Amino acid sequence: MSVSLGILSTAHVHTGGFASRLAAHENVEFVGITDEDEKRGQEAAEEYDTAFLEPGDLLESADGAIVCSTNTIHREWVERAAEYGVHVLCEKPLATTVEDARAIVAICEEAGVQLGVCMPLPFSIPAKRAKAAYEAGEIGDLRVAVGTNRAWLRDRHLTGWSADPEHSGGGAVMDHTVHIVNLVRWITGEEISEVYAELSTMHDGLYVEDVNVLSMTLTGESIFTLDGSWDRPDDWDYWGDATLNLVGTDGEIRVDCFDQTLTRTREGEGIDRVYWGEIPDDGLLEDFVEAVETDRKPLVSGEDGLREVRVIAAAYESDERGEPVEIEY
Amino acid sequence: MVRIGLLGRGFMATVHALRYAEMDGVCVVAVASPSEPTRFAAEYAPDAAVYDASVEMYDKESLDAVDVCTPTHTHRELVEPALERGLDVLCEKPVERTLSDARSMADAVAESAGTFMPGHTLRFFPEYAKARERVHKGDIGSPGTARTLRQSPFDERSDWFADDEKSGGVLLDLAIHDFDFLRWTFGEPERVFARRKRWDDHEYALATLRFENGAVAHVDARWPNRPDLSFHTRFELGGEQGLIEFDSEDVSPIEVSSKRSEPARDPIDEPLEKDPYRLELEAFVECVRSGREPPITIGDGIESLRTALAAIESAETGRPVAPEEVSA
Repeated sequence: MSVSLGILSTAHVHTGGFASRLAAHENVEFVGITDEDEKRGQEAAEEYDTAFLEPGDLLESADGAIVCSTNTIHREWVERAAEYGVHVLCEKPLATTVEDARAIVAICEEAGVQLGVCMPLPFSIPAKRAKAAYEAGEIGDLRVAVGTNRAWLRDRHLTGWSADPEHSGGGAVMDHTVHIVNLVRWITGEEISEVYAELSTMHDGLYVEDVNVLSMTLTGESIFTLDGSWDRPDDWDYWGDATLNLVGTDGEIRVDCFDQTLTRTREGEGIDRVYWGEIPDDGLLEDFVEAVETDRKPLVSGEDGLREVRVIAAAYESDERGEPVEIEY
Repeated sequence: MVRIGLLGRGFMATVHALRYAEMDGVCVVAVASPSEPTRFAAEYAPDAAVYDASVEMYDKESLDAVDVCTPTHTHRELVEPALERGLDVLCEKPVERTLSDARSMADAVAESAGTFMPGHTLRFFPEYAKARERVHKGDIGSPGTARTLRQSPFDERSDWFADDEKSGGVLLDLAIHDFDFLRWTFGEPERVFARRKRWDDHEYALATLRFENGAVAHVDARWPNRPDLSFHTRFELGGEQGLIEFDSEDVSPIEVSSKRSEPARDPIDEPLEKDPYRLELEAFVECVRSGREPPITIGDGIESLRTALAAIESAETGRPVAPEEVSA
C-alpha cells in the first residue's frame, strides 16, 4: 500500500533530508512541497527535484504531511493540515508556547488526524538498547539521570532563523531541551515534575540564550540534569552530541547515540568525524509512513510533544523567577 | 523458503544460526558436523535434522544452499560435493588452506549451477565500508599509507586453530580480514613482507604490504592467549590529502553495567539495526533467491588467500614475496 506525503514549508534545515527520504521511499508518493514563502519554496522544489504546490493543492492530494516551518508557525500549518484531514508529522518543538501546543493537539484530535513530532532519538539503535536494558530491570530502580545535547552554534545560522526569537521562539532551551527530555520519558516512562534552569548567553551578538543547563526531578523522585547548550566551538570535530547516563540501584546505562564515527583529517579543512552508525531519521520517517498507512499514533505523539513543550515553558519560567518550577499533570 | 544446510558447530556456526533464526523466509533445515552436532542443533537450530556426514545431508535433505563454517582445511572436501549437486555455497574465510585447493574449488564453481560466496564479513562492517567509501570519494587524496590492527584474544579454542597445517595461523586466519579490506580499498598488493612470533600459546604477526599504486600498509595481527584483553580493531588510511582513523576502543554508543546481568547468548552483538553478519547472510540469501552473482566472489577469496599465503611464505623465508609467486 502506498501513501501520499508532502512537506509543509521548507524553513527547517531538515527539509532536504526529508525530501530525499520521501522521494526514495518505495511506499511513498512524494506529492511535493509548499511554503509560506513562495520564492523559497520554488527554489527548494527545484533543488529537491519535486513539485511546488499551493498549500490547498498539496493538502488536497496528500494523506500526510511533514511540517518543516519555523517554530512559531507550527500551529498555523498543523491547523491547515487538520482542516484537510491530513495526518501530521511536526518538527520539534511542537510549539513555542503551551497554549499553541494544546491547540495543536486538540485540533488534530477533533479532526481525527494522527499527530507525531520529529523526535529521532527513540529510533537510535543505542537508545533502543538502553530502553531494552532499562525495561529488563538491568539497573534496578532509577535514581539519577544525566543528559547532554550540545551543538555547534554555527549550525543555528544555516536557516537564518534558528536563533531569531521571532521565528524560533527562543534559544537553546527551545531548541535543545526536548530531545533528551523525550528520551528520558520514553525510556523510563516517567514525567518531569520540577525544572530549575540556569541560562546564559556566551556568544556575542546573540539575542537568545546559548547556555542551557537544566536541573530537574522526575515523578519517581529521581534527579535529572540536562545540558542542552549551543556551546561547541566551531572547530569541534562533530555537530554536537546526544548522551544519557541512567544510574539505578543495581547498575547503570550509558548511551552516546552518535559514538560510531571515523575521525577524518582533510588538508585545509581540519579534523571532523564521519558517522557510520544507523541513521535515526530513517526510522522516524518509517514510523510516520506506517502511522499514516494504518491510521495509528506515531511513536512520539502530539501528547508527548505537548508535555515536552511544558518542560520548555517551565525552564523559561524558572529562569525568570530564579527558582524551581513545578509541572502538574 | 530458502532451505539452508549448516556445516559446523563452532563459533561462526553459532553466530550464523542465531541470525538465520531471525530472518524471514530462511530456515536452517539441517546441521552437519563430524562431531555430533546434536547439542548444537538443539540449542541454535532446534528444527534441524542432524548429520555426522555432510554428503549424506546433501543427498537426504532438500537444500537450496549450504553454509560452511568448518575449519579452513576442510572447505574443499565439503564445498565441492555441494557445488556438484548444484547447491549455492557460503563459505567462511579463508576459502581454503592452500592455493591449489582453492583453485580446485574455483573450477568447481565454474562448472556448477550453484554460486559461491566467501564470507569476508569485514566488507559488511559499516565502519570499514564507510572508510572505503570516503577513500574512494577522495577524502584522503591518493592513498599512501595504511595501518591496521586486529587483536583476537582467546582462552580456550579448538585445536585446529593452533595447527598451522590446518588454520595457517594468525596470518591466514586473522590477518586475512585486513588483507581483504586493503585489497578492496587500495587495490592489489605487489609484494608482502612479514614477520611472525610465537611463544607459549600466543601468536603475533606483523606484515608490510606494498601496493601497485605505491601505498604501503602495515598489518598487525594478534592472537594473545590472554582472555583478559579485549577484542580490538583499529585502522588508519592516509593519503597526500588526508587521513581516516578508527579505533574500536573509542566506540561506545551503549554500555550497560549491572549487578543483574547474565552473559549474552550471542557472542557478537553490534549496536546496529542489522549487524555485519546478518547483512552478510542476507546478501548471500538474496543471491540464492535471485541467482545473481554474489557481492564477493571466489576470485576475491583467492586473491586475499594469496596475499595471506605470501605473508606466510615471507615469514618463513625472510624475504619479500609477491602474491603471484605463491603457487601452492
